Amino acid sequence: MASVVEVEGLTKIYRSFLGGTGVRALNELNLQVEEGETFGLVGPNGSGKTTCLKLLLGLIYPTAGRARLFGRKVGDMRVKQLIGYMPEAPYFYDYLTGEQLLRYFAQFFNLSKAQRKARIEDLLNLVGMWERRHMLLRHYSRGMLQRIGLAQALLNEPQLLILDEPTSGLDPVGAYQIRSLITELQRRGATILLCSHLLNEVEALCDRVGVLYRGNLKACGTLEQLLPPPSEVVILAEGLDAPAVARLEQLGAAALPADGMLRITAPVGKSEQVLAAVHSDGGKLHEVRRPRPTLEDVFMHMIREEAE
Amino acid sequence: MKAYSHKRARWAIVPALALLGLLFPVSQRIENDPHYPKEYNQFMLGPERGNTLSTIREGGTVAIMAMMGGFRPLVVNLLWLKADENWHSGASGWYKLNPILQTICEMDPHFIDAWSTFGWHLAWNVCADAADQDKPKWIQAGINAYKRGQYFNPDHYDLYKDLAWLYQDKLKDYQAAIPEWQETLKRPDAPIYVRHMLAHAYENTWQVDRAVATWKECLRIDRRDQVARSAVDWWAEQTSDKQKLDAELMRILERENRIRKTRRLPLAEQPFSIK
Amino acid sequence: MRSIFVIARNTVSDALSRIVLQIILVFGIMFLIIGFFFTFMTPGEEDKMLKDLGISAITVFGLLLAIYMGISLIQPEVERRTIYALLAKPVRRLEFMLGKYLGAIAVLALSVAVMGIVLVGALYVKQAVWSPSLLIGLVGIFFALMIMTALVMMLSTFASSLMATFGGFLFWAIGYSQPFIKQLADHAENPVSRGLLLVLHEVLPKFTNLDLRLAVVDGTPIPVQLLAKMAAYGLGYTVVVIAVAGILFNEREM
Repeated sequence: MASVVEVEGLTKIYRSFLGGTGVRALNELNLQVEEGETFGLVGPNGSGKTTCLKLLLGLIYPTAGRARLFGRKVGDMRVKQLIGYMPEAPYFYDYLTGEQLLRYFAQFFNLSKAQRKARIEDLLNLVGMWERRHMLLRHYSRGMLQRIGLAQALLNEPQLLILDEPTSGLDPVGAYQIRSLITELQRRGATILLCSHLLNEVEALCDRVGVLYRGNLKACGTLEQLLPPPSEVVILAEGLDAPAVARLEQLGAAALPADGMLRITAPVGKSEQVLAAVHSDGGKLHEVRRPRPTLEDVFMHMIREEAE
Repeated sequence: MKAYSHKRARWAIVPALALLGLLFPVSQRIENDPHYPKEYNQFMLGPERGNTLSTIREGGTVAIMAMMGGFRPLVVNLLWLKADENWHSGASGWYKLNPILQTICEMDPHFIDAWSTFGWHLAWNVCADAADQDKPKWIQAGINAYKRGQYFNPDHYDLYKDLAWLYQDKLKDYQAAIPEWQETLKRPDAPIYVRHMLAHAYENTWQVDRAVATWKECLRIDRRDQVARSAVDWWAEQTSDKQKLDAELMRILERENRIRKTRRLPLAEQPFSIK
Repeated sequence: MRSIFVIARNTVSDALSRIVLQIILVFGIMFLIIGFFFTFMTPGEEDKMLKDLGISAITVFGLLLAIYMGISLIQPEVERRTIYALLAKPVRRLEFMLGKYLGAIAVLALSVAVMGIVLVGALYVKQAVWSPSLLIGLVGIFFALMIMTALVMMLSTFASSLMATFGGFLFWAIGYSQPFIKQLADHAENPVSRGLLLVLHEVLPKFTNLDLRLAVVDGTPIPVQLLAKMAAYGLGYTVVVIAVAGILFNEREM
């Protein structure tokens, strides 16, 4: 099965008009996105995520390397019929209404008038903008613009959806709504390339993740591959006296007071023994957790390593 | 690395430049087309074209603005109003009129009234105000203005008439006036009195036969022309008697020389002998 | 191909909704109507003045509109990044540019037509003497506007809106001073400067080649062959500028 997105050695160096060394925004990027999967591209601002997307869409040209979508060159018109793109912080023609904008964009695809009408109606309902379809875009809030942005990306029922920071600047409700939409699209089998700097969102939505930092792909793989297994157990308990705590420390756990209770941290291997000790010492258990390292933890660790 | 299509698009510059090259002869053909109203687009340089460059300097911003298209006819009209203003403000305004009128004429060479006014102004007004030794210069300037106006408006009689009048009335140079009157008559719509003036010019250069022929031509065109009728009758009377004819011609000569003396023009010579 | 007309239609509705365009057009019409009230000249001169003023006003305001349209085609879309969503659709960059240009031209044609109607109306009410060749002069003006819009659009593919506006006014001045440049070239002593001036004379636009105004005000009939040559020049030069603009726009990184 051919990959939907294939990137080989993609490099982009921004040079100033007068020449000079330039800024290496993307360095020898290699990645693939398979059909039906949701791929997240993460990294801090300036890491090259947007550069990568722009290269894939033909908005900018690579210095070296190549990219292919559906096995065809970037910029191929047949490819553009199959993709949908939601730009970051979308801004549209403010003299049009939501419905007019969708109608305008829909005309670029090979759809009949009836198909266009049906699609637009479906999409406006999907993103929850049907009631406000006659409102001018200049009066839209940020959240409404994001939703229209997603709607226009879906006009052609794209096989590949490219989303750049789909929930940026949204309040929790708005972000939740967008995430639900993305989940629905995943359920329908779309291939999604998602760019975000919100790691928790990527962790929730994506099958595979690529971590970009300063133009380099630092890591790439599924979450299972990227995130190490949990190494600790955290127990919240109360009613333990000092000797009990000392016994726990002998087992290799660390105990700290926390809000009138005791927060005990123990290595995973010793968890059962620690629990038994707490129980036998008459302690009252409130909570037992095996916290998994998040993508954020992994990411920050990577950054710190880079800095050194 | 593969060549991306945006680089191949650069080759489009070749046909574009070829098309640009093809436009050279097209624009040449436009400029050389006799119907293309190009004279007023020329900014004349060089001494043979008069001192238009200095006028532009004097016209200053106005002239520069005129160059920028869309303003030229407007500027001409506004200057014409200004000229009108200065005309009526007496002698103090007269020297100011020169650059204004010249600018108007050069910017809109088809504005015949402007040429007519300009020539008149130079040869009559300014000349009257000038010192004696400068008067011939201003008259010549007036003649040049008329001639230049004729160059741009060869199909209109007005400026030929004006120049003929200048020769005839101001300079009493009937010999020079005659060809101008003839040119005037060649143009359509010349008024009837032009033929009368031509006849007078012939009379004052003692070409009586031609004068009478011209008066008869006037009668042929308009039987009710009283002036021509009385002139024909008068000359019929004079020419029937040679003594009478000589006396009449002598009277014309003396009268002319009297006028020429007051205007300090060279005296007319007696081309005929009184026998 | 269809994309071009879709974008053109959108450009027209965008332009007509802009307040700046409406203001320029209203001022143009006001100017024409003011000319209506020149009463202190003799009748013959009054007519001439009204016609002069009318045609000049249409030229000047038309050129202002052309410059304004030229700068509002590409640069605002790039600055506001509305172009990203559009170019991600199956639209070529050239189609986008041509669609925008076509829309701009449509707006200009409409504006010239409206102003022309106002002028003819004013002449009719004033019972001034005028000939239909006055309207032919408007066609000449329209070709000049086509070139100006293309030039400003070309500049805006790589320069800021301010620079493109400045460039537009510069082309305006140069375009109408071409005979002057030719005269300078003819009188140049140095062969290098002569050659340079001649090249400039040929490469830069010649709005004077499309300027029929003084003739049409006089009512001189213009033969069809001359009109055809002018149309050829106007269209040919426009195509050259659009081609260059297309190449520049293609190279541009968003």
